[in-house]
Amino acid sequence: MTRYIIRRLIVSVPVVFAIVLFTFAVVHALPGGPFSNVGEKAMPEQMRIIMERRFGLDQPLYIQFWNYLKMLARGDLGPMMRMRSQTVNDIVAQTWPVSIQLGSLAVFLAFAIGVPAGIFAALRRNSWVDYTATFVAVLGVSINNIVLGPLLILIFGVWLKVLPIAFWGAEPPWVLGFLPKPTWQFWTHAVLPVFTLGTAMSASIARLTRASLLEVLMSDYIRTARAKGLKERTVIIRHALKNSLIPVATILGPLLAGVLTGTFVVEQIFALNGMGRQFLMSIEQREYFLLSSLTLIFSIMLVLGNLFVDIVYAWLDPRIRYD
Amino acid sequence: MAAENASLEQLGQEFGQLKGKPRSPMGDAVREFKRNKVAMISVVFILIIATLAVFAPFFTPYGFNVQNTSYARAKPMTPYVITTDKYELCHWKETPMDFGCTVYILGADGLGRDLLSRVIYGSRISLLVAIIGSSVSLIIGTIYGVISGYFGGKTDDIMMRIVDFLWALPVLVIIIIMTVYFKALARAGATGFAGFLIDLDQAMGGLLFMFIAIGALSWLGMARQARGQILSHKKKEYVEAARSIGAGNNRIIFKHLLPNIIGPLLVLESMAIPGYIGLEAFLSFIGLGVNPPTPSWGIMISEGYLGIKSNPHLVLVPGTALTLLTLAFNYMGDGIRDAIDPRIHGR
Repeated sequence: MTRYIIRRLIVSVPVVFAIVLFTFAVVHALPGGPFSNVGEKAMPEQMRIIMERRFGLDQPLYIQFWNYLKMLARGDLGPMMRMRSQTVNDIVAQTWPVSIQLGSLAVFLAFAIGVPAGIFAALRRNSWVDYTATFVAVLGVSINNIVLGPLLILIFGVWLKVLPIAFWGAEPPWVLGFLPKPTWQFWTHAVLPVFTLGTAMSASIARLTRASLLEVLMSDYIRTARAKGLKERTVIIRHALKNSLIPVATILGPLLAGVLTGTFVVEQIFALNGMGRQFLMSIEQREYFLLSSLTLIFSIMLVLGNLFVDIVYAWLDPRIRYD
Repeated sequence: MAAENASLEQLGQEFGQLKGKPRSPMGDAVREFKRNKVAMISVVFILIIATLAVFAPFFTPYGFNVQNTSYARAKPMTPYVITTDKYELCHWKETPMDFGCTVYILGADGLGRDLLSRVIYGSRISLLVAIIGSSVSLIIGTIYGVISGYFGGKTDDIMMRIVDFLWALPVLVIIIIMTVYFKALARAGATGFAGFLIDLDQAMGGLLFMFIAIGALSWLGMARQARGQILSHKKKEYVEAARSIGAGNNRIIFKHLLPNIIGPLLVLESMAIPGYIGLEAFLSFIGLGVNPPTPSWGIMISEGYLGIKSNPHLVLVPGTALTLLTLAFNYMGDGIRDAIDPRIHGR
């Protein structure tokens, strides 16, 4: 297993490298640069040339890329060109934890609601509980983040006035570098964004859990377990549940992508200072270093996430062997 | 004795059924699908939306870009008193019905454009994306997967390596960067092939890049599925039999393999459609989708959500449309799955 993990990591290095090279090339090819305007006005020509020289933008692209790689090797993600009181490292240190907190809370919520709901619906099959759960799940899958976010804001923020509708409730300095201080303010601010991001996921997890548990319950070994007189509880908990969760784990892969997409939208809607929002902003402002570094981080997170998913598969399903 | 007769009669009837027309798997699936009420309602709903979308000019009181700023942010179903100085606004030539000018059934947006008209025109984008997205992904994915799975060996190795590589990319990030790149080029003006693509995209209201984005994202899963299906079928007896009587590769693939593997692929594809609609809405929401003033539900929501406190209908109207259409496609996908997937038969 360790060898497999190491090999996967080695193989993914060229992938990540290719992505960063690609991003670097494309963003530099974008018409307009970081200094083509100041606010609404165009920056004076001489000033622009001086500024560009300061950040080495006048050099050929491959030299710029080489310099960027050297920076990365030192652990420096690059300077901010327009907002020079900060570096890319500062920005990442501020925003990365927000996205991580949002994403992991949403995934946690998704499983905490989805799995029990799916099990409950499957065990009470064709009862009103099942019908309600199934309907709510389809609705949850169908409602887009960009609809659910404003809707929740409208209901809980504007009409009921019980929850804050914007900003993340925790700020740097982070505990251990990425954890929030679990204050009341943090939790109230987290509710709406996390539900916005987590609802669709929990709905699809509930649907998968239900379908897969129903299928397992009809299998021969469950009949055997029942036939030898085991209690229904034991049959379900000891025999059915673990196997029924294997197909559910297959959603982890798409879930990762979903979290990424979702944080882009949710951070936009709730004005959270996260990586997705920074990413969109950095394109707008041609912050070359920020954009390349964020892409690098996204790629690394995706590679690690996919690796983690494969490890979970192997752990859940002993038939899968990596070597 | 009588009971025996009855059962004999039943048996006879069953035999009679057997003697009837042979039933094909597709026919079975269609019959099964028709029995599924929710799925049928969804299909009818989608067809209605499709009709509205195709014949949008006949069903909309205004054009999608007709502005009447006197009625900016008009509330739904609110009659407006027409004062004499504003009355002439009601008689401009784009306004087909006089009374319609005083009532916006679903309200009007910040520029005084009728929301009903825009929502109906917006359904064109969502439906187009659903159709194009699923066809592109189905065609490319199936061809790729079938070639890879059928020919196996080195071909398979290389083709699947490529899929694995693409799978590992943060595709969304790349799509965003590419879209920004093309949009920026379009603004700066470009020549040659890029210029041609950009002109085409402009002519389609920004849809071309959307299709490229969705196509690039969606065929990978389909290719894997198609390959897996081919692998599980190509060693089966009927394929051996076909080969033994001298059928060529083309004949085996098109006459024997494809009809047998297409079911699960269709199921997968129909389940993926809501994702395409969602992706379009997402891209339009963050400003990378279709170009304004082409109305897309994602753009309408992004224009409306900042003012949600005073004008919730600007979000609720397109939001409801988006949710209902996605819901219908989800139910339709479930229906197709239940109808085709034999494991779920008879549950």
